[in-house]
Amino acid sequence: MMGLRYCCSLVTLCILFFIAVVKMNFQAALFVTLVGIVVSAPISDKLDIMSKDTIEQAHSLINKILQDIPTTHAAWINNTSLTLGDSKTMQELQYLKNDINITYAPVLQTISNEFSMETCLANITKGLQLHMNLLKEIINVSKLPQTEQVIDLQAEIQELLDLIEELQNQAGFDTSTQATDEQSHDLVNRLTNTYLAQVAAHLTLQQLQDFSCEILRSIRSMTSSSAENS
Amino acid sequence: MASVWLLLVLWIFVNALIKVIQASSCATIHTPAEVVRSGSPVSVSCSIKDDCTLTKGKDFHVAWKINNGFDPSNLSYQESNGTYGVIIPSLDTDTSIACAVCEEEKCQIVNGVQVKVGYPPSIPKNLSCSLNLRPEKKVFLCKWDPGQEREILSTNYTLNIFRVKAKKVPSEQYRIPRGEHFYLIPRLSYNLLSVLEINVTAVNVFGNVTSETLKLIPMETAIFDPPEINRIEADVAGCLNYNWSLGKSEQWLMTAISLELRLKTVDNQQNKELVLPFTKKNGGKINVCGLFHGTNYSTTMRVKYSTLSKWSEWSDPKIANTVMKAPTGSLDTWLKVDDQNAQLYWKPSENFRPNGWNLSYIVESMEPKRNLCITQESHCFFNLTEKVEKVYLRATNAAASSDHTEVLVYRKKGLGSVSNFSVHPQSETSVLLVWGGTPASHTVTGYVLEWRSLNEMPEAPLSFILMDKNISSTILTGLRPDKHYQISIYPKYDRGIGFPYILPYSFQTASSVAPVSNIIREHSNEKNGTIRDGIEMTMFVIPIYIGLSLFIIVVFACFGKTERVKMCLWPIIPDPANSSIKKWTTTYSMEGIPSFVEDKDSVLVYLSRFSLLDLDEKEPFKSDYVKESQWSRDINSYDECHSSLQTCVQYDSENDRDSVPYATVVFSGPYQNHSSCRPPYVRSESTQPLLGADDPCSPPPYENVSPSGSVSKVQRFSTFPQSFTESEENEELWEEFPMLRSLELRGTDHT
Repeated sequence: MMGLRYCCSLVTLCILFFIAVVKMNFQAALFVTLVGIVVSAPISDKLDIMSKDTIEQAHSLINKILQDIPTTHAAWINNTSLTLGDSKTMQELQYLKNDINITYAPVLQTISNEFSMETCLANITKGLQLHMNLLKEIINVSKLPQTEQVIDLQAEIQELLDLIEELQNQAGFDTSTQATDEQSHDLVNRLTNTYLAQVAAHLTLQQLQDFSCEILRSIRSMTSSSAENS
Repeated sequence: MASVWLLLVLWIFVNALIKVIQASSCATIHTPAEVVRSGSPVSVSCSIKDDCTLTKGKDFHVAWKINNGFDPSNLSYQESNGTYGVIIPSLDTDTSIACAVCEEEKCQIVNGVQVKVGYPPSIPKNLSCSLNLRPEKKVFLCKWDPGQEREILSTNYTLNIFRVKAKKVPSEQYRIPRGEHFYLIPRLSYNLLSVLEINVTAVNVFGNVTSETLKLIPMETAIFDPPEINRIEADVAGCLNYNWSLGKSEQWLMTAISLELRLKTVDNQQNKELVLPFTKKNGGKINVCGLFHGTNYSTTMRVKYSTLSKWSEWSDPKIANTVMKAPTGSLDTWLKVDDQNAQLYWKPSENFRPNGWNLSYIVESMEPKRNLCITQESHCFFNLTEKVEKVYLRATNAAASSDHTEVLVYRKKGLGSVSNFSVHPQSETSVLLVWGGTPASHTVTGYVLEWRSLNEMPEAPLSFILMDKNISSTILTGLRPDKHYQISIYPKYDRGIGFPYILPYSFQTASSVAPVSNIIREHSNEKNGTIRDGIEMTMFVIPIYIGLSLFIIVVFACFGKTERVKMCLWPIIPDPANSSIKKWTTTYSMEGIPSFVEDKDSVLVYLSRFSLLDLDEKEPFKSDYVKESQWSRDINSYDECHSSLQTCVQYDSENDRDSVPYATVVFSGPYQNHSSCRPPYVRSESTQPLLGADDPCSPPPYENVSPSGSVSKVQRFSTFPQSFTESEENEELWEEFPMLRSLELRGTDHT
């Protein structure tokens, strides 16, 4: 199905090329056509361009992040009422989440024509950056200790960001325009005591865990598609 | 007011003191740096004070003492009035430079300075980094060797990290605490899976140097935990399929890593060990084929991140069996037939594979079809009928049976043996066997070398090797130095098996040349060339017995002077021909009967020896030599004449308690008429009974040897007629007893 669509798009491009030749000079028409071919290429072609090693490394890092979140939560947040993965607690903290201004993570959908690889990678970057900033801010403004586990988690998020950026570069996606989300969450005024800091940390880690599961799903789809093509 | 005065006085005193102190040092000395770089020039200046007592009003000159010697004047100069300097063009070692005031030849040192030499720092070497992934000790440690350090100069080290692909913070520097030559790189400074460039810079006052740059991926420096083999499955093709996983600390890794699988056969089955390399992702299935069927394998694994990494420890072993199938390959066989008795031995050849366990062997014949033997041993004894020309051997395991191995039955006898066979010791457990020379009339198809340890209970198993016809020597190993062996070589012909050439062999009695006495070539059709074990026994037992017997004889000879021994071995049997009737007592020893001093006539044969008892030796030959009174005659005591040899003597126990009559002749009538009775004889101390003439076993009658040499027979004793005078009696006596005559004659001769 995707191949058929690509063929249709190629045919369309060819028609447009000939029109462009008539209207513009040959070189300009050729450039525009080539860009169109690359942009309209289906996901399988993008994966062929991306390095399999880089995809595997990204897969490894997201696994590590998911593996380390629980140990980080246990070492950083010394509060038995805040349990990772407890949906009831999540519902009860919904008000505080909004009050503390914990930004929601971007949505990651299944890669399709409606949700391109580029969009997917961009959202992954945005979401990781969001959580990275939240963790930094919580550490800076609160009295929660910066444990070794938190530092490791931050390093792993940063490394995954680097790998995603590398995949984007390999795929030819433009990364200059994507937001780094340096916007402050003004946590200093909101985390007025240790409990609120712990809640903020818990909510951040919980959201990061959910978001990481989405990232893993997306990377697995890339891996399986890459394996089918090879 | 008083305090003011006191302060004034104090101030004057202090000033004066200072002036005194100042006045006591004649010169001040100055140098730009007390530590200079090796090879650098050094200049020192010395300012002489005006009020120096050594120079005031005197004709002096300034000299420089450098270390232990005064500097030649060409290095020194006068800068200005009262200031003198020296320039040392190149300083390589720590140097003491002193300024001296000299009056003619006498010099006084007024001040000095110690200038030290320094070097740039040594290049840090052997920079290495290692990552520890364990949660309790997650660190990335780099260390290096600083080289030679000089205490006079402080050296500062800086660790430089450059992240190749990082855009935000590509490089970082970390100042190393003084005295340390390692650094724990912060977690935020490196990516686990990205390339990192690291070096160390050393800086001191004389310069800076940088180590070689180390380019690595932090994960490459990590030593992984041992992996875990979760499950092993065997398939019908004889392969093993492994399901495994990385250790807990590396579970997240999805990149391909290096693996090694080590398989060992369990229970020493075929002693095979395989080490197989793989590159797999975590959890990737591993398939190992080409294994022995029906075999237990113990498997261990180890992993590393890449070829540049160090291996982890081996995992815990896991044991699995490959699937069984029918045994394959061939069996070497050796069939020995003796009429209807067959002994079949076999062993696996190099290509034999049991492919299973519970291996057993079946020997069968096809015509007639029957099982001859089923065993788990490697040999079998059975009966063969004349019709059977072939037997078939196959191996069977729990799964199936192998193909048949055909064994031809050779019954033809009389085929030749090899003409020479020798054994040469090579080591404590091996020998070189050399053979050759088969009959030209037969075509040799091969040889069978057979050997067995002797004198074992139960009997040791027979071992054999099949060899090609072109082979004429081989080395036999695995022998025991404390055992005796029987080694045989059989030539195989197209029509049958030849006679063996058999050699017994023992390391203890080994010689380089096969002893002739040990060569046994069996030509017996019945025995088919086997040596009886008895020969082996006799070779050892007979010499022992012979030696023992000789030993006993020697002992008896040496110690056989006792009466009992003498009587046992050579009892003294008096010879009537060389004896005289004498009386002796049992108290006298029987041995060493002294021969008559004059009786050395070589003509006479001494058949026995007497000990003359209770008689005057000077008169041994008196006519009344025989004193019948000394003999007890008790006619009444004479029982019936009977053929028994039993003595019927009685003697006067009162008078002659220790005397034992030699003989008592008792006749119931004239001896000539006494034909039916045998005269009873009293047995002497001689253990030999007197034998009657009628006794078929009795010796022939004595022959008295007369002095003239003639021999006359003395049939019996007789009594003298009553009418005989003494001289006639004597004469008669000599007639009857020529021996006595000869004795008398000798006695006469010697008196």
